[in-house]
Amino acid sequence: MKNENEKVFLFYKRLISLYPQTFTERFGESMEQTFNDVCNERNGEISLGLMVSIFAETSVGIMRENLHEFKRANQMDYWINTIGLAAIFSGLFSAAFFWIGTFYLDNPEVRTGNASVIDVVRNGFLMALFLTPIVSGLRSRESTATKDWLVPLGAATLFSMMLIAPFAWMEWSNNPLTQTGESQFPYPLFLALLLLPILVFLGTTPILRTLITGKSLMAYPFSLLLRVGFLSVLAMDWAFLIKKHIPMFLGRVSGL
Amino acid sequence: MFEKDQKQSLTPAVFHILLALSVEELHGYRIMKQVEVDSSRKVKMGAGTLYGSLKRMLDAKLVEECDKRVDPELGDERRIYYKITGLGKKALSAELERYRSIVNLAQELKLLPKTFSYEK
Repeated sequence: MKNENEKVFLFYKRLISLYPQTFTERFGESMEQTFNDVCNERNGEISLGLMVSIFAETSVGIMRENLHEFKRANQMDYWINTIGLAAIFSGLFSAAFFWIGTFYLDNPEVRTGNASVIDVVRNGFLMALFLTPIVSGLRSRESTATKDWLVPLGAATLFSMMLIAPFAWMEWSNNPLTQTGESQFPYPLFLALLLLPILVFLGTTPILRTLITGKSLMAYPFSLLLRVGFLSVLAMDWAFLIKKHIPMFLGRVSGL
Repeated sequence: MFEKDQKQSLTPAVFHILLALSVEELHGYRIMKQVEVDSSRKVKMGAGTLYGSLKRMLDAKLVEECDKRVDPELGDERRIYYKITGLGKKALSAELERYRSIVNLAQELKLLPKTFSYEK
């Protein structure tokens, strides 16, 4: 029973650490004492119902305080501006590709007007999703010298190239259609495979910098959650692309 | 947020915390218990609500922290005590006055029986 209570107390302590750092530093100890007092008034027997109600109420408090801290620290403005900038960049890229497709490439869908606006908007949205972590990473370096972000960009590119090199080699050596010249080397695919890890690497850089400087990652949990969410989507997209094209890399091309 | 406009009513949690502290300085757990007693167990406050409210009340200077001391009934751990400030007393009085006006209006509208002994 004593072990069970200790586990519950440890879990509660970990739960409290999800509050904003300033809140935990100020009230963490008091909250632990209060939790102990509530448990002790029941002679140390913590019922399931009590546990659930305490944890639920604390979780609501965590969300409320983090949202309050998020707004207070202008994190809301930071992310609105970051996503807005990413949306502007992606809109410009989409417009550029659309214009190139209309006037320089023989794209019958664009020429005949069959390319739907919804597809353009969706692609712009997806591009904004990809660009947001890199814009956020760049904005967090606003006050540093250019060389301070060229180095991570170079490292990210090198890392990404090493990551996709085996698949490029497999595609080149195993795909008979590529070898005979019947189909082109899938440059757009490998460009996507190259860019996604670069974006993940650059999006992760602020997190790594926070850890290296010894600061707490939980100082801004909502920002961390958003950043991790975006990076997870990018990583899963990369993994999905690899999985989808593995048969092609292994030379199992349809029709052969 | 509170001192800016005293016409703004207090949340139930803040009101009960101020009421509890109006009598004596208390630490977190005692505030929770006093609120339960004052509200006849109708208001039950968890630690999340309590300390979230205390943070906002400290920022608004309705309450302040006192020195850490031991509560003999709860062991020898030192605890932070809180006390109501002058601004907190004003906010509490304003809120009680608001409640009195509402009760008087309800009595005039014959929605409530007369309850105060000095009333005819």
